[in-house]
Amino acid sequence: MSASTTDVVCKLARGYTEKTPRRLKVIDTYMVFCVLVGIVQFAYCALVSTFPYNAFLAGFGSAVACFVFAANLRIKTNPKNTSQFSGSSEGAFAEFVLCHIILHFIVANFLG
Amino acid sequence: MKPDGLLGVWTHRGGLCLFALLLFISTAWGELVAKNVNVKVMERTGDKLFGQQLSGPGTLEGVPKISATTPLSISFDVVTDANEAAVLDQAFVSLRSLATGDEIALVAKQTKSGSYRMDLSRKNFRTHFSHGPGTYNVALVLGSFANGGVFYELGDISVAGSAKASNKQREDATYGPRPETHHRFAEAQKTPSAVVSLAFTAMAVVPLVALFGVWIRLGVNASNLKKEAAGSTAFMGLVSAYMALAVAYWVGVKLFPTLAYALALALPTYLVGQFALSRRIQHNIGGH
Repeated sequence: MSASTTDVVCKLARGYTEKTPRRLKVIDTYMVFCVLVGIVQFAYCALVSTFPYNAFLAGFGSAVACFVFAANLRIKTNPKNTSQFSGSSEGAFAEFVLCHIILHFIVANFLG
Repeated sequence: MKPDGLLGVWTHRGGLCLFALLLFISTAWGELVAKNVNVKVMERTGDKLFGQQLSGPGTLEGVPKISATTPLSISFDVVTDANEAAVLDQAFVSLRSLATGDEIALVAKQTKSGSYRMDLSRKNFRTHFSHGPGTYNVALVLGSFANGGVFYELGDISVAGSAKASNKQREDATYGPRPETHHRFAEAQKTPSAVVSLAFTAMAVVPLVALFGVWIRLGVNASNLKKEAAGSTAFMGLVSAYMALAVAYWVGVKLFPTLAYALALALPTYLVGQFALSRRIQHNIGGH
């Protein structure tokens, strides 16, 4: 059972490494970074203290929102989805930048 | 007939007559008459220790004694000069201490029959007479917006109580300057130790370092920016300006100036971004 699980994981990793375009890997690593930062903040809130709570909400919300924006950018820039989305990768990147600008103003307002 | 100051009003003949009329109304019978005033002192068992019925201007014969176990009960009817039942807007039984001058006003409530009644219960006795026994002057203070008012002195009563308790109460009741107040600032909220906070800060920075490391390993570079250097640089610079504006807003810039700066940056950022990204698309298409 464990051997088959290991085989599946290895096959998945190999397939991901070989078939995934480099641009998508860059976005995937950014998404992993957002997840890790969110986990660290949540662990601090759970283990140490919720003070200041508004700062935790701003930071954690920022990590989650960045993850969501990156996921949208990945979907739109994936060559396999070109039939579903008419816009270009550069247009998707412009939307990504605009969403981040608005997000960071909201986060700065909530950060306190 | 100009009044010569405030006193000048009262020196005028008309003012004098008005004052005399008001005084007559306030201190004499006026239009309200208290009738069938029953003053009772009852035992706990229901036996009557003292009972007397008065009609104005009669007063109590003797000085009845009341205590917590033998409370006072006063009932009365109020009529107008035309002998019609009057509805009062205020009906108080005033008990004024002859020794100290302290006055207690107890409300007389109207019963279903139309008369008014005041019962001094044991609880009220302890509440109102805890400051001391002594002789009290009892009076009815009655008033009506339609018919005026009347002040009817019934007589004196003696209130029993513990002199020691009253003395103690007197000692406790000090009327002097209050103790000086000292402002107490709110206690600082307990925060985690700096070591723990710094450790978690480092833990939050580590993924960023790892991210850059993985990107470098993947071969992320800025070579494509050279294809449209000016536009790309300007676009990145304006986006960075927005991030700096967000930091400035966090640090201290107020909301509306921030919005003004953001609005000022919006059009150049859009135009430069449109230019840079469209040129990049053209390069990509030309390259393919």
